[in-house]
Amino acid sequence: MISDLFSHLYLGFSVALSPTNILVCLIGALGGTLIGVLPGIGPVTTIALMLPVTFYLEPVSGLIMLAGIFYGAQYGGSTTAILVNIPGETSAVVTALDGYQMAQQGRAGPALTTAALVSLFAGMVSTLVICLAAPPLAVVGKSFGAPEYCALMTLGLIGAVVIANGSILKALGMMLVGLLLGIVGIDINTGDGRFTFDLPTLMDGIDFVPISVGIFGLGEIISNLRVTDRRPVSTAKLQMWPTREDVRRATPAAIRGTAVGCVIGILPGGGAALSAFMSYMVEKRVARDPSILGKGAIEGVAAPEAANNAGAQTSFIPMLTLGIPGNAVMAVMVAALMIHGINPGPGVITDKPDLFWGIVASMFIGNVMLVIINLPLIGIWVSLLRIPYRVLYLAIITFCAIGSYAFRGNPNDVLLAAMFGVVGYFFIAYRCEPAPLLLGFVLGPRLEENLRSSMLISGGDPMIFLNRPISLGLFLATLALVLLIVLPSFRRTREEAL
Amino acid sequence: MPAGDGVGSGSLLSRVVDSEWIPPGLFFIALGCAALWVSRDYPVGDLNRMGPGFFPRMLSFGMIGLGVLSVLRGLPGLAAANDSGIRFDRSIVLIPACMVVFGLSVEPLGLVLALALTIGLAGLAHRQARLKEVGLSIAFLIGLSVLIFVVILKLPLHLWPEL
Repeated sequence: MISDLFSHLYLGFSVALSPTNILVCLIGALGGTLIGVLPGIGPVTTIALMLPVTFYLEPVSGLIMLAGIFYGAQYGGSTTAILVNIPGETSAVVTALDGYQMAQQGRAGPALTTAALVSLFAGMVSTLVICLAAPPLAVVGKSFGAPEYCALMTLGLIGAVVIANGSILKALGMMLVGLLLGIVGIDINTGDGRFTFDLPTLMDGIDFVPISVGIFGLGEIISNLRVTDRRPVSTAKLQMWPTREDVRRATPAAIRGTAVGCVIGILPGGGAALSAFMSYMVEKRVARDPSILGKGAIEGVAAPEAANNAGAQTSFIPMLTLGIPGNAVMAVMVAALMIHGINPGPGVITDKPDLFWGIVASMFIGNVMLVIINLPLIGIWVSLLRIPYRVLYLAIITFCAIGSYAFRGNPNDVLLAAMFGVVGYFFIAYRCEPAPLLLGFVLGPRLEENLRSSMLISGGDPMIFLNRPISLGLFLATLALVLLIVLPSFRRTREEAL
Repeated sequence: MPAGDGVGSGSLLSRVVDSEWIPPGLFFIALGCAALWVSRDYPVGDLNRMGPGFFPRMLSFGMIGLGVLSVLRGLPGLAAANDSGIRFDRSIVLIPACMVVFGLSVEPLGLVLALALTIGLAGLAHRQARLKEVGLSIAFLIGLSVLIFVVILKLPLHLWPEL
């Protein structure tokens, strides 16, 4: 078992340490940090925009870069949250609470160093968790039949709905819209075109890039253009290192945060932001004096920063082993796998060991690179905040335009993206969370296919979902989630946390 | 576009538009009905052998149901003023429009001219647009795009109009 792990990691590092892959990992990590720093553009948009680029790389290199963007964004988001109280990413919202207070007290340096070091620690631990948990999970996944997959996808979708911001009613609606968009195109069972309006562009289905570019990129620009620019404060010379007292207090918080993140990341609907929120709640529970949190406590930086990085990385586990994305970023990753002709599912680890272990090994490398590179670069990242939004959005538009065109070389995709931009703005204006839509879109065709074959196996008897133990367990878990939604006490906590 | 056309916050229409619940609800209902209409001829089959129409119909009914619930949820709040809702101003027109311009012009005009038009048009969407900044952005972003997409990634994009 242990020797297996070492031979797998050896394989992984031999892939990840090739010059190309080190370079793409570096580009991904730096690019991720950059968009993490900049408010108004997030990892989902960026990864979607980079999809066409990865098309021209080896699959493993492409995924290494996309993964780097995701965890790099966690680093970048904390930098601006601490220094200027602008969380570049939702996962850094919690960090801003205590981090900015520390900066106000002249302790920005220790806060930044702590954030970077606990992220490194959490990144290392959670990557180890991936190494240990993914292979057995994939073995379990191989025994899954259509009913189990149906149950698992339902659980994933409901999970995304539960953690979505705002109304659960609207999140459910968004999920259904996503499922509907997902099945546009040729029905694989019968060959009939559905919702294609006889347009050749729609025959192969709506592509992932126009949807994500439109809703996440353009919709957000339209919405942001109504908000006036916030100008960050200047940065003085920073005293970087934490004191011994800081280390004593931050270490247990980082360990708790990592543990919380590793668990939440794996759960359906989980990911970086939820992990950060949960770990902050844990810190409030365990603190001897909870009132210090929010007033510049180092625990309030260490725990959520460890948790968001751990959660970001362990959310790869269900995506890589079962093909089920737990959050919007993983939905893009599933799309990336499919673009490269890889069928996401339990077969990935055994059929493409170089891909799986290469990505895992690159996470070790990327996390180390991030710390080494970013600590000296903090000044540069912050100065980037001086770019006003009225210049920044022009760059985002440029990449949206070229990205959606170059993906298939089809100008109609750009028009489709423009349409989804208006729809996306509508969603933002009415507080409809787009993440469930994206998950529904990615899972739609597979959910339908598995539903149809389940019914075929059982001869039309829906009891098949309850007669099989794994599928029954998954449906019970889904039911528990639904009950949670209905319980008023949970609703209140959820509203407070989100 | 009713861009602040003097409809006071009292008018029913504007309160419906500003409601956080009713427009999304109507959207779900409309999309559900449209999907039902388009898929009216798709064979539904039965539980044992689901036809291509089965799943879409399930989704459509689900959307209509949730839409109705959302509208009902919004009705009691209609009396109060709401701050959500879309605002019609130039960015909602110009941002999609500049993408459309790019989509229509990138093949006939080539990347350089298409980008110049797109970014120029997008630049007008900001209330504090400055001519000089937009001009510099156009030059810089065209250079950057050519470098990244054409020189480094070698995407099959042509730069100038095909003669």
